[in-house]
Amino acid sequence: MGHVRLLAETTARRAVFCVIGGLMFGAYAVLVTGFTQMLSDPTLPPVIIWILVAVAAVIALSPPVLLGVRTLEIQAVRAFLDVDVPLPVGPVSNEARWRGALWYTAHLLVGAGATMVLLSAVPVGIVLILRTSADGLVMSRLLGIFAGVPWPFAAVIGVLMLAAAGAAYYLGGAVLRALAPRLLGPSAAERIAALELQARTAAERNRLARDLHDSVGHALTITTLQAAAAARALDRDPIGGTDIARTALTAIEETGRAAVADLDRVLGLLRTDADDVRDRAPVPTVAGAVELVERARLTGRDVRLELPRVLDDIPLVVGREAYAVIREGLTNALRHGADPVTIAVTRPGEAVRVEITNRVTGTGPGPGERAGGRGLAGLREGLTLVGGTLRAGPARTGDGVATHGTWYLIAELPLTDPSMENARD
Amino acid sequence: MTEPPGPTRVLIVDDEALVRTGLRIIVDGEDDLSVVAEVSDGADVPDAVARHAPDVVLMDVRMPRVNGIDATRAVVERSERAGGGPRVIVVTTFENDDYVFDALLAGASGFLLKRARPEEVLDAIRVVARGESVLFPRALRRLARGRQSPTADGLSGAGLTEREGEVLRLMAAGRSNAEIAGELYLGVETVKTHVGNVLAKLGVRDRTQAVVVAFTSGFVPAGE
Repeated sequence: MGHVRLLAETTARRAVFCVIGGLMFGAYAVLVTGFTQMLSDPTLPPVIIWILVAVAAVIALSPPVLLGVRTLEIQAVRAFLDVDVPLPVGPVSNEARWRGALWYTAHLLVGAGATMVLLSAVPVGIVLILRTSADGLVMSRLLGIFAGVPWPFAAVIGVLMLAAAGAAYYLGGAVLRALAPRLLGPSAAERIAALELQARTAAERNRLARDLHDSVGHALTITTLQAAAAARALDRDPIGGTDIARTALTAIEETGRAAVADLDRVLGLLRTDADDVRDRAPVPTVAGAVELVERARLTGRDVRLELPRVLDDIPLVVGREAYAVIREGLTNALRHGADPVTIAVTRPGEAVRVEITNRVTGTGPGPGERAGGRGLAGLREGLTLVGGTLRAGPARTGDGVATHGTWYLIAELPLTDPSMENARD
Repeated sequence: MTEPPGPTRVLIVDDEALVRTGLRIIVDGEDDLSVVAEVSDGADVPDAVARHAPDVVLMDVRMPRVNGIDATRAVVERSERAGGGPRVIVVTTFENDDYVFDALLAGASGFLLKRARPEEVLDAIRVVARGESVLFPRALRRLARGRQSPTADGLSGAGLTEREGEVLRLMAAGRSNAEIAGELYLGVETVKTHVGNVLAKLGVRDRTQAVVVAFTSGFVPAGE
């Protein structure tokens, strides 16, 4: 039974979709009929009528190529025909527009057929089932060739007619369903736009995961360990252990406080993300580097920043990536390198260049590449999205020989990437 | 493998001072364990090992100059040359960490999560110091999942006898020598001989390595 109800429900929705097309077809039919009548009326001047025809044609032919109508059709197809055509993202190509117009035509034609069925087969079928005798002129005109059929047979024909009407709707819906993905599906450009959006969302999510991993995960690990140690110390020696426990508590308090601040920041990002990834204004941009550097200087580190004002009008996405490079690079340099740390942001032609250098102590790899590789890998991901590049390593002389003691990180972010156009504010 | 005389000597390697002090407090409270030194980078490990002769090294993975993987490799190579040395436990923040597996391949005897309960930390040190069973076999299997080597031949080339294969499977299940002896109705000494043969035939230094090889070669299925 559930199966039958499902079939009936599906057919009803398809029928509604077909009839909507039929109603739109009706509007065109009215126009055509009206103009035909006017043209056949010798009392009306044909020039005026032809002007009216031209105006009406422009109005009538615009819906098939309007993008809003295409979107509306996609929505309707998803709701009434259960076809999972993706909603449009980003710009729509002319090719997709014309396919949309074809779809519009198909919808109207199938709809016209469906409406004819609705206006003929359905009433005739019902009358054939219900009437018990052929009576009256109206009735016989409505029934046409079936007027003379005696009742029980007439009822059978009526039932068959209704069944055929249902089947016709089901089939009409099926035809449209088969056409929908081809005519309304995303064009190559739309697919690319959707993929880009996906990649951007994923990169954003990765960045948040990394942030949480690096800040809150790390802090929680330390507090857990310190708390366990404190408990252990008190268990062993309730009096002598208090100093150890107190030190641990202070460490827990400070680590916790910093972690909550980090969490606040990351959750702030998430909240903005929830609105709309496409329209969201990225939060800190390259100017935020000033604050980063000031904070580092407060801890007594020697950090030098070169940030010219010509960078004020760069696209937000580029500015944000540049900020991310500075933040990550500076953090690595502060953590693993020695002073002085220099940050230079320049704009050589149609690109933004971030260059971070620091002194290296010891013999191991410089900041980030081995020890905290996650950070650089994440930066590369983000940069790829804006067509940028990242290099890092020990500084070399002109002959390519590694010079001891300096580590560099250079990121280049192009300003001309076409995918950036929408991000310009 | 006899019980070492005196307390087990532990070296702590971590770039984060708060992690070092936390571990030290936990380990130093035990009568049979003693922290002999703390260092903050993998680069300082060879020196510390030479000077303090630890039995077990608790090794962080990510450190500024020399990371835990390279440091582990250095310790293991040194032990091979010297014919003995400490065993390494990699201490990590997150379990699903590629570095952990790399560290195991580099010769670490096991790994620990920084969030582990103190008792687990202490147990791990004791188990690894004794060297008689594998730490956290299930976690090892999880780590090995999806890391099967492309030339996995199920160890058909290793020439393990049927008995040695059985012993390796039980090792991979985390059984100690005594447990393996019980299950196979063998003497503990016989099991030790089999374990020794397995290690030799696989060309690995210890049990954990053997189990890692068992998983990555497909000899013991690591699951999906």
